Amino acid sequence: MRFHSLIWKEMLRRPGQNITTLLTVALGVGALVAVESVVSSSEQKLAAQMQQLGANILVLPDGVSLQDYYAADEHGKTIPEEYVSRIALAQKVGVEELAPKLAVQTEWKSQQIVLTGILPRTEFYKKSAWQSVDLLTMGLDESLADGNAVGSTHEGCKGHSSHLATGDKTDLSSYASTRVVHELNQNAVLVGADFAATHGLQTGQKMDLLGETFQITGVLPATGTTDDGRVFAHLHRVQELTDSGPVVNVVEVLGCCEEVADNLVSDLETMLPEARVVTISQIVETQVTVNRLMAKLSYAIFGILMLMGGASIASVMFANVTERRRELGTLMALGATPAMVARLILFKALTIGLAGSGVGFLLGLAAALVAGPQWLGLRILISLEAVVVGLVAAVLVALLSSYFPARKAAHLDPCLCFQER
Amino acid sequence: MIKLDSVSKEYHRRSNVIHALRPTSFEVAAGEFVAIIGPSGSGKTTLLSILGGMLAPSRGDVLINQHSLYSLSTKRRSRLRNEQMGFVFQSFNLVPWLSALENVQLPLSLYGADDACQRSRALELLERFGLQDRMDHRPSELSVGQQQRVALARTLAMNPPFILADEPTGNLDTQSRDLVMSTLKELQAEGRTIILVTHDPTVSAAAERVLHIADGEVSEVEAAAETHAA
Repeated sequence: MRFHSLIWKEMLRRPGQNITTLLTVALGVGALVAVESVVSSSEQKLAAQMQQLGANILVLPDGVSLQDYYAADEHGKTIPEEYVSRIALAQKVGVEELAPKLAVQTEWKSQQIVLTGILPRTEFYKKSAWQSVDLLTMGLDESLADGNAVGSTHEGCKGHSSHLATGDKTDLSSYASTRVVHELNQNAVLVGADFAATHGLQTGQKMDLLGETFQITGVLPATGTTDDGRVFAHLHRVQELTDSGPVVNVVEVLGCCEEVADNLVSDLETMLPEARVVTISQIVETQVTVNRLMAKLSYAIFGILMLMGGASIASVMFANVTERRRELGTLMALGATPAMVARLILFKALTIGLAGSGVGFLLGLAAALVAGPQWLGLRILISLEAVVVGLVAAVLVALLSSYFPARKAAHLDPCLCFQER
Repeated sequence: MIKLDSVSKEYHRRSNVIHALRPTSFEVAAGEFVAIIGPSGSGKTTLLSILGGMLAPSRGDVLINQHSLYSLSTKRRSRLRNEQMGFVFQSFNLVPWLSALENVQLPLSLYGADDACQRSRALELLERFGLQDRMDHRPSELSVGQQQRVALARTLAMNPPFILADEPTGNLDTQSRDLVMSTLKELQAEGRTIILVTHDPTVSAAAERVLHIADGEVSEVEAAAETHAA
């Protein structure tokens, strides 16, 4: 029989009391791990969005507010398509591509779907040419080197490029990552990955939409955004079939780098006073604030539950020492040193702390893995920081709160062993 | 050999001094069976606690084989208790959540003996007291007599030369009492020193020598055999 067996067997004698204390610790650690994992995953998602879209600007109808960049066209309000030409004609520094969109709800096979009109770059190049701006040669002449932008070149730009590579001009599925399609037939559609998977659709199949038959010319790879559930068609075809007129819900302005974004915003606001111009950082600002608040809240909840856990451990340990006075006195009579008796109490508390943080980790993990993807659409990465903080804090709280009970046990009078029951 | 040299114990309670043990000196030779008899509250348990190294006297010294017990550190005194003293308690003091075997293993476990050694020694002692078929039973599953036998087995786990017994028959029926007393005599025959505290003259009669204690005052009485005869 080893020292730890003494602790373990005593704990098993009254499991209910220990489990209650353990659960208090577990709840604290679980809440911390779950919330911090969700917050950290959300922050990583936002960071990835910022990395990918940081230089992008959205031109929206006035009064529209957004929380999801990818759902920027789902508000039902419109702006004139002519804004696209105005931006292109302005030749602003750092503007690489323009992506206007018009999202309409329509029925397909008795289901409501979102059909998104997108403008292939060939279209506004044509339009620009028609308006005497020589973008046509820049965009359409395949012999020219890739890298021509809609706007002026940003000197010394260190940002990412949203130019289409040569391959992207023919591979329509590149739209998922580039957000720009070079050319799109009037009777062609692109379908999102989830939409295609749900309905078993493949390239070459036909779809009847808005009374017309379209051919699927590409299935887009999954992006983890609302685009995965959409169908994309030529903007002008969508406008024509829905009698929308020359309008769009949003114009996505793909900038070359974040350095140009601030200037572009003010230029575009001046150029398009009736529109609202926002950057990705403005869109995610609310989410960032919520994340920060949740992170603070999770530590506050953790702190409160740890205090409760500590009080519970202290209370249980004091009661335990009082109840076991005679038994501990007997152990001393049999040769246990005061330090050994104190260790019996401290190791018991340590066991509760460790088991509590272990159970808490599992609870937090389960909660984060269920809540993250189901409710928040996040792919959860467990916050190691929260796990370490939770474990260390639970162990410290357990040891600190049992310090005085352990001290009391060590100072027990061994003569208690002679007391009558 | 145990020697008490002018040992006294006082307690201070609300400016009153309580003399639990007045200055006492006596010796107990190795292999001797001594009974300390006295009424309840006379200071018997205080004396036993002092002899057991669990209660430092206010004055005087306790010598175990010529070594001062209370000049040892708490840790070394605990070690000495573990290795050299076996206690027999009136209420047996078995740990309720351990089996009979584990209760007997307890002093060996505190000593740091390995598992195999603990188990074989505990089994040997349970067999000696006819409890080998009860080794997995918890104290609550044993009769009072069986519990005292487990406690006696635990007392002998470390093979101590000194046995200190506090009213060892106080809660027992006649049959169990006879077993305990005969065991104590056997232990004395094996060369151990027995110091027994009791208020029962029939129990003290088993001792070779009897000390009387009243109001903390210890005095030697006539030979136990004579008391018994009387």
